[in-house]
Amino acid sequence: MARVIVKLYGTLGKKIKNYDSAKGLDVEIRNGAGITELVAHLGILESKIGFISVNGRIVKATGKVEDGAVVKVFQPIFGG
Amino acid sequence: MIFIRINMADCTINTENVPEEYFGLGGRGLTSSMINKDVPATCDPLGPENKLIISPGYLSGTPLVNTSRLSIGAKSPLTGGIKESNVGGTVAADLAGLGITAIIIEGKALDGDLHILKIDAAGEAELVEAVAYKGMRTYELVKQLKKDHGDKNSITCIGPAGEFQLTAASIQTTDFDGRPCRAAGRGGLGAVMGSKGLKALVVHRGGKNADRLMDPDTFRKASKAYAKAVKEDEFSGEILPALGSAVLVEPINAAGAFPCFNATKGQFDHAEKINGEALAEMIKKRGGKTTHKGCAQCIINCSNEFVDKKGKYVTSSLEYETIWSMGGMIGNADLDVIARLDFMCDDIGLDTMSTGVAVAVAMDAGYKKFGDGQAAIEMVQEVASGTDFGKILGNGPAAVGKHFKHDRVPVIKGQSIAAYDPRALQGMAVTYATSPMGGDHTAGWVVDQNLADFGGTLDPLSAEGQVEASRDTQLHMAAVDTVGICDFAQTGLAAPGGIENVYAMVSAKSGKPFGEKDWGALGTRVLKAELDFNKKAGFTAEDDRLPRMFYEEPLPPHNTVVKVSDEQMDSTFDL
Repeated sequence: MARVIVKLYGTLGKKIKNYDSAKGLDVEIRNGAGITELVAHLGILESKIGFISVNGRIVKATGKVEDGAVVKVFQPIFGG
Repeated sequence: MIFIRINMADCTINTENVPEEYFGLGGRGLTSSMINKDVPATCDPLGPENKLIISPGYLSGTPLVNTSRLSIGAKSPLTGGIKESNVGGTVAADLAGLGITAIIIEGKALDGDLHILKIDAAGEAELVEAVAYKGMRTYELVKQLKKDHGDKNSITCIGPAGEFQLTAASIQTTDFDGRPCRAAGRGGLGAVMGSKGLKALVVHRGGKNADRLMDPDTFRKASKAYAKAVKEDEFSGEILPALGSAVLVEPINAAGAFPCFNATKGQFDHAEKINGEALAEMIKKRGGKTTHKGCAQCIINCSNEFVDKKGKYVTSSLEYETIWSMGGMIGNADLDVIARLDFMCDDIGLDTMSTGVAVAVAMDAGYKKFGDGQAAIEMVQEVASGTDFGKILGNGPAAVGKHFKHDRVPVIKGQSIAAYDPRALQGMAVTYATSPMGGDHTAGWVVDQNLADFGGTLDPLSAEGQVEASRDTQLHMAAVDTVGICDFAQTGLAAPGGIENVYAMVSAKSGKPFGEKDWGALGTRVLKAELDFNKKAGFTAEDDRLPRMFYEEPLPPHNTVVKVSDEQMDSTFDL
């Protein structure tokens, strides 16, 4: 099993019960899981996601989750 | 539909019907067309031949939401080229409500002359002698003007920076609550207003004489649909109301595109202290306001009211760009310092972006230490005090760089970059380099094409596709800035049928057909006028380049430089 810290930004944290923005979510997921699998596991619709970064780098939907990674999830952004 | 022309040398006022050649224009389309036609491109921007043109958007004053957007145009003393700077608050709705299409300020005041321009409930203009307000900061000025002229007015004004004619001087305007916290910040238009001896424009609020809509029923139908789309979009309907534009801190930082320490790094280690989530939490905890209405007819409410630990008012509409310029860019992780600097810039009448970058250049040159918030506050205070260094700082980053003989100055055509590093968002390199406005982000924001859709349709670290994205967005934004729809309400435009609603509303106002081809033609017309002016002003392809630092210094964490070639830059506009 892989263990990752997931941090949710924008108003995403509000959708998860008792989300602690300082700590994020401690998530266990199968080794070699893809990003989309992690997202589904969290119960977040892909359409609600703008982009995701893993350990400070933006990843595509085809990216994989690494054990011990910090995963940041962002909503779509717009504007200026 | 009238123009009000004011000559500041002899204090004459003339009202005329809008000439047919300007029918269908407002906002940036109008100001840029008129500046290109009537201002000699090689004139002194602080001299008598420059004009300051103030125009609400074409759809301002209509029932459409989020249209209180004012464009102010002139030749810029900062860039030496054409400038349009836009701002919200209530003034655009107020002017449009009085049937005023543009105010044209001409000539140059005699030394020592200072006036306010008052527009009353009948839409009549009057110049009122204003020497009593000389040197006043904007918050004190607004307080006095309320006393002297009542509180049913919007106030659009300059502070000491504009009176000193400094090239980072802004024009401030009052928000929905009457505070001068909304800024037409970029390009030094405050200096132009100061050179013309105009301290403030005081406009009656609540006029009921907006231009007649030729087809009000079609208009209403389309505007209702547009408003619904803005409300239903998650960004404008939920995220911005909750967190304001500050929500952009974490995503841009995650992309490695948040310029810090005078653009030596693209990620700030302390982003969590100054991000939108932390800001909203701090404001709520202290009894300030989020989901705050800053502008007339706004249904997004992205503004805020920041208070100190004791709950006392500090500043309002604290935005992403200021959090960047007074935060990451100067190495400062203290929101209280950022908020104080935001207030000071609004009060002194300074562009927060140019001023933060100017402070960053001073720190990078070794004048003060990065992260020294107190030093930043003292530097900005010097602008108001009129010290020698204050005047240098108030003239922006290029002036500071010249003073310290420091060559790391992130400006294009004299105007600083915004809160997106071009090395990590290559599309912004194109916009910064090729926009007639100089280093400007709203002119062609291509961030979503690079970061959206779960990784972006474009690779933000590659030059591929960036020229097309920037060009298309710049042309589109020129039309948006002409109709006067708030940037954040563009979610209504992006929704299915959204842009067709805009075409329908333009047509319903004018009585003439308007469709996709006309939208494209409108943007092209505006950009052409601006590029034409800049050419006449002496700009060449060499001015469509970024400073050396962006081509030579790899930006951590991605360690990339700008990859867009000179040929690619020059291919952007072939109009």
